[in-house]
Amino acid sequence: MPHSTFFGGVHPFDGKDMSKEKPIKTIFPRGDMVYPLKQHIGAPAVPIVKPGDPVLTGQMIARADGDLSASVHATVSGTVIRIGPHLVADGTEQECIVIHNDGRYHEIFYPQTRSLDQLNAATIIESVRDAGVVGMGGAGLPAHIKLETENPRRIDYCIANCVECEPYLTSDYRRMVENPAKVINGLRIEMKIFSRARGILAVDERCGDVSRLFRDLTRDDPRIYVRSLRSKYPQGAERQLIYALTGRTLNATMLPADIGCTVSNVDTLVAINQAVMVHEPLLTRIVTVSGDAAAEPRNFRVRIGMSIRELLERAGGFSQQPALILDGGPMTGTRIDSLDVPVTKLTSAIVALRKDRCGGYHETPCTRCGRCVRACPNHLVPMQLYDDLLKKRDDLFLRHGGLECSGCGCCSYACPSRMQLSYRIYSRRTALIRDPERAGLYARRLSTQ
Amino acid sequence: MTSTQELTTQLPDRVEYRPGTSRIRPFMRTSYGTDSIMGMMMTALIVIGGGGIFRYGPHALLLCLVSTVSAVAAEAAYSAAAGRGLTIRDYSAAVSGLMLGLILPPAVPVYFAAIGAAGGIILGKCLFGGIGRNLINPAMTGKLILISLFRNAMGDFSSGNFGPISPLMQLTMGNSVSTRDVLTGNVSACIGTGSILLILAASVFLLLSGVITLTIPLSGLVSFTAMMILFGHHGWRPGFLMVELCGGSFLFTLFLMATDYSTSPVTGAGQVLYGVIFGILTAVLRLFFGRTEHAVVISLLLTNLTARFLDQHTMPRPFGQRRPGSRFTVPHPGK
Repeated sequence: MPHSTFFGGVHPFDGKDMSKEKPIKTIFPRGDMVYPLKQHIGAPAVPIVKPGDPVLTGQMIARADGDLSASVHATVSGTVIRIGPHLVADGTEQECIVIHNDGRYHEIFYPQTRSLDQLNAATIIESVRDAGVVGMGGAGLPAHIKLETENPRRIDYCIANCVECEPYLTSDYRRMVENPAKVINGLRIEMKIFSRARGILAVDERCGDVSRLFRDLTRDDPRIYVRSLRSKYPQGAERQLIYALTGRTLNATMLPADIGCTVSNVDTLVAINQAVMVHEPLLTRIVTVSGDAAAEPRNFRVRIGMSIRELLERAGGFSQQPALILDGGPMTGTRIDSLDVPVTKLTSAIVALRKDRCGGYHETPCTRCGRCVRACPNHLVPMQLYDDLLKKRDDLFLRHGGLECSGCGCCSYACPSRMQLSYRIYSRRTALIRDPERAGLYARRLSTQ
Repeated sequence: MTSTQELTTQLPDRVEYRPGTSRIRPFMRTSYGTDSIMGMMMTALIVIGGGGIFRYGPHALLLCLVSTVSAVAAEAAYSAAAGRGLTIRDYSAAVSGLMLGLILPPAVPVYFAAIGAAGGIILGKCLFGGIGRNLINPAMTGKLILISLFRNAMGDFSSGNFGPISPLMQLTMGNSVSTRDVLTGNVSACIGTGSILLILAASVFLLLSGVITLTIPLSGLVSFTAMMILFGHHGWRPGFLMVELCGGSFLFTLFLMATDYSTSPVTGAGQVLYGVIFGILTAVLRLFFGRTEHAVVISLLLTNLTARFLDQHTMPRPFGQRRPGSRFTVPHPGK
């Protein structure tokens, strides 16, 4: 039974108006490209080129290592310079392949475009795997894993997550306005595997134009329908999305497939469409450059591997000195401390904020106001969990449901005492989940770290 | 290609942030902090206090000022002595102080305000560990101290033209009371608890601005009214119910003190039960124990003591839990 919304959640400043009207601009980078070997959940890919090798656009340069892994492809043509550690956006050094860009963009040979009726489950999964498609909504689970469920007939709903709840991000919105057919086709491809499923395009209620567009395009398809959901953060989170659409609940020990659903992000669906229909590997993604300090907030189609410095330069730079530069949105993003890091498959936005939008917050003691309890979409009591972790009582932390925390940030957002609830609770949860003895069944979702 | 760059600042070679820039997500927050919430509370109390001062004269103003200042001074002195830093900055001590001032009878000596405020803050808040950790309401604790020490003076509401007996006491003695007077506060009462219209206006302001929620007041109202109807010996008579509700500081306590964050539960179910307990206890104390004016003092403090217990036993079940009924535990394979 659908609800159109969920308990809890917050309404942060939207920030989408500044970048939602302008069309996506494609950028061809000129500088060197850096490809981390791990841009996904699972084992890092293994390089299959060595320094000095010439590469073409679309050529696989690192092969997936095992099933829970994804391959990496060159997004430019040029020569491999070196394979070794390089700084990435989260501040750590990772193994990367660095390629010198010759600017010519010579491509590999692409076989002929397929049609939908030529596909079966095996070809779809193989194409998606070979293209290195990962879940681009932020998690990075290799996409073929979701398609490879043991019993495809158990899936009732293929959900397209078109609710972009993170503030400032409009990449999915522009994608849907400009290329809705690709999104819908990606969903249809998934539904080829899950023959019993119905497809749902879940759209935020404020994007009425997208709903209308989708409805027009799916009018003749009895298997797909469009649902409008109430605008609230984090409506795009997996558990809340499934609940609002189908009324089914999911806890952190379960996977969506356990309750007959799969959830895919808009960018992932388009990547699946490209991979399956035209054999194109994952080469580009849409990145929103936004924020009050950005000179020209808009969306860019960016080649994966491009340096963030070059992206910001081509995007017009900053209109004033930013107080904070983020990889991702302000609710779930991370701070960038160096601009010489690459855009990866999981980079959704670069947000540059002024001081008044992200002011320094001084933590004061908890007043037991209860706003965090009302904000938590997973029905937890964050102040209690915070208390438990301050007292280092892991047993109480587990008993109060700490492992259920999905790290949405609603509690920290709502807290008038500006306590860093979400980050600390989620960090404790991540630490505990790696211990199978205490985590029990929760360790099953270790893959989603 | 480079023309736009002339208008914009150059990208820095190295990213340098001001010291203190957070690296912890989320990077945005609601606009209200504890100080702005306290500020709104303060506004509501000042409005109510203004009505009281208008009615009862300059001595009432003096009492409110002294109580506020004493509370702040007491907390500042305690935190300095205990090495706890400047906790008065969040204005919660000032709010508690003013609240105590508003629940004093209008003509008591000034040192009552000082003793009550300082004692209430220290015993009811500082000794517990500060805001959020106290089990009992500081202002009500202060009033309890004063009642214990100066029982007769605290029961005497005379001031200017007003007699010493409050409407509630009139009702219990069997006299009739003018409901219009009760509503507008034209009666003998504590400084801030007399004018019902002002209290309701302030409560609506606090509700609309999100400072308090309706859960506790509503459940308190319903349970108290039900008890009064059932056991009050007057049935449904609106005159009786009105005075019981409006008199004895009940509405003031219900809307402004029972909803105090530190002493009330955080869970929704817990808040409902809390309101119910408060309503029932107040009714019981008034009807069966003969306490009229000061029933709310004891009932609020007793209800405060149940808050943590209610919290622990009404913890919500995490989203999507499959285990029916009892306490949530981490599921292990095979169990």
